[in-house]
Amino acid sequence: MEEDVVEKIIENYKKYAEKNGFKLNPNKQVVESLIKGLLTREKKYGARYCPCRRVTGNKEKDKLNICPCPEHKKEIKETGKCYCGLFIRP
Amino acid sequence: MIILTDENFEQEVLKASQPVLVDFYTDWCIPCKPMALIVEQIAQNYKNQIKVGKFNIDEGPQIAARFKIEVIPTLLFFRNGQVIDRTRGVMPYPVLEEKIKQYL
Repeated sequence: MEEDVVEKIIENYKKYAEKNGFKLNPNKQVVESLIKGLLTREKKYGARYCPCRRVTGNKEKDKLNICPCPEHKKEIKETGKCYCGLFIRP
Repeated sequence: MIILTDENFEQEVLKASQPVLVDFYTDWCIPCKPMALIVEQIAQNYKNQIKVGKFNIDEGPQIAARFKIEVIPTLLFFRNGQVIDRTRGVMPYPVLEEKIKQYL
């Protein structure tokens, strides 16, 4: 069941990336690990918070860390990938 | 390599007699994985001079908040219970080693 959810999220992220001019990391192991992290955090904290950032408990502040986070486009542009490595520059 | 928690942090880190390096991470953080390997190497190569521990921020919210951990991997260097340096993001072994030498 969880595998289906992961696959669906991967598809959605692929579409999102294409629409925005970048792409999903081709390393499926990396992508699956990050998505499992997002799902684990969703169960624990209530939203798909970035697994590379702390969940503070302050909903307003933490909202900025829901994937895809506000910094990802800038990071992809500047370094070729978002901090977590979920999205990369084509 | 010591597994640190909210419960043992005071004893293992803040009251330690030697310098302590702490690697803050989560299980699902991809950039944390190469950093963990490098920190492990430091732990082995400097085992008589520095204490090294790792801290899962999802399992220890109090300490993670107290030391204002935001992005991981974050490394904190402690001496006599005080943070003397902090880094965020992955750094190569030689860069980390230079820092360690500076704090010994």
